[in-house]
Amino acid sequence: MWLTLITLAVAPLFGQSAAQVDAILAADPLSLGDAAYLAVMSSGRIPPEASAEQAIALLEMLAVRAEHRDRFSDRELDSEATLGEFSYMLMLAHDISGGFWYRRIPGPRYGLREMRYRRLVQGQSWALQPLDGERAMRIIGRVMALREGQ
Amino acid sequence: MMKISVRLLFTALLTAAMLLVAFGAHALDAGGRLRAQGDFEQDQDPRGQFTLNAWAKLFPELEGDATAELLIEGTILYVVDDFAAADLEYFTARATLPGRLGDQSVLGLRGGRYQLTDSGGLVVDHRADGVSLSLDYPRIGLRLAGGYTGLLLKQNASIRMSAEDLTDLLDEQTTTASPRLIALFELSFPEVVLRQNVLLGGVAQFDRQSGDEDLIDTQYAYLGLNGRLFPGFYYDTVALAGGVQYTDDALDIDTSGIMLAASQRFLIFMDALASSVISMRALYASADDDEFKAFMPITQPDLVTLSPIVASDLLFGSLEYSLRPFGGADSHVLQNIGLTGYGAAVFDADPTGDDAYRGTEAGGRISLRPFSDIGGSIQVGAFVPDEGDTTVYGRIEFSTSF
Repeated sequence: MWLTLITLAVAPLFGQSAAQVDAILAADPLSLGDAAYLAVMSSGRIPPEASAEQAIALLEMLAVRAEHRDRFSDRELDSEATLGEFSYMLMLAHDISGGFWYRRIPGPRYGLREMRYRRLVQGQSWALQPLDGERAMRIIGRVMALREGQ
Repeated sequence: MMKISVRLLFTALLTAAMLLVAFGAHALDAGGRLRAQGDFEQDQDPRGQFTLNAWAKLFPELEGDATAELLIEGTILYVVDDFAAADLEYFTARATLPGRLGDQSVLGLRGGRYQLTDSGGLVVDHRADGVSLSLDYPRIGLRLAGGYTGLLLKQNASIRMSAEDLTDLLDEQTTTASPRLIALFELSFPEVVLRQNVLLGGVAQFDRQSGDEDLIDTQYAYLGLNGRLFPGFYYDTVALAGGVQYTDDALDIDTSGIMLAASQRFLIFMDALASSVISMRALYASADDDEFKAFMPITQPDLVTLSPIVASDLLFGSLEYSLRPFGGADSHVLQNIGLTGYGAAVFDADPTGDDAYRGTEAGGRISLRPFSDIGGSIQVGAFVPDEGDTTVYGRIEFSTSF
């Protein structure tokens, strides 16, 4: 029931078929490629038919000022994404401004801190926490609500 | 004292390291906080203090929706020209277990060094070593908690109930805080009707000082009501009756009596008007007279004033207005500037008595939060007494978490 509701809510957002969104929702753990795709796609920076490689490339371009610019490219796309990485991706893709320490040391650690402060990430959380598709979708839902409120 | 504290801290960190190995490094979060505070009082030397906290949280994996957490937090406290101390701030194991005692139940367990707080806000808000259990259902919540304060570091504690507590504070041989055994019981009834919540609670405090010095035991029973009256208009009412027993074998004193306290607070949120918040509070604390004993909380309740006001033989009323005048600005820094103005009138518990009016404090505060992890404030207040000269107070605070 819960999965169905999320699917119905977010499918139009990505221009995706319900089956594709279902596959991401069911992913546990979420892969790095899917996490990058979700983060960048939800920001509207790439079209729905874009690939995970394109999403990663865009994230690296957006992180050009950051010290961790190679953080994603040195990882396999099918490796497990962490909550910290996904938070950092969302902050880059949605241009969410970070705190003092995030600006000096941009990356998953302070990305997650900022997302927690803004209540975009809720519940028990740490940077290296594994992430599943359902939680990722909930976080994206809150990010979209924040953007609409601005 | 510093050596003992450092040993405690080291033991905690060693325990954390062992648990880290046991649970795996991935289920870990860690960070720190730095806080600086300067207090100023007219005709007195300024007082500055720095607090550096380092914390680590471990997250053991549990079955289903259950969650657990182990928090270890150490503090280094430095008061300029006075002392430096290292303390184990928290060492708390916590578990939340949904559905263990019924489908809609949430069982919460806490143990170790944790913050022991009564929900009424009049009795205690202090760290203690002990355990706490909560059991929540949609219509009723139960909380049982107990703790001991005699193992805390005295410089990093704020329980001052008896003359002996003050003597110990000045005694260099004494390193630990006032030894009090505290037991708490609460029943809460959330949203009984029309978003109104009811709280019933009781706290018993036993003075565990050894020897024949003065001992003060206290018990408190309270009834609280809180909730929303209109959209954006909230209230919080607490009425308390308690018992107090003084004994001093050396002076052959053995007396007891009843004490009373009550608090009424209104909060009005007006988002459309520069995120304005109006806060009104009235506080009553009984005096030592023919009928009652002076109210004596375990820790003093938070008041808006800078002048030291003790919740005993007191009738207190305050009005506070806060706003964010630049909430619509493009600059994130300007958006998060907060301005507060307040006034507080202080009377004896019986306002009809001679010289019952003690004075009024008026002041203001500017708070800044340019980033989510850096903030600060400047507060200035002037206490105008019924008789005598006005005293000006000030406080500057800065904090960052990393």
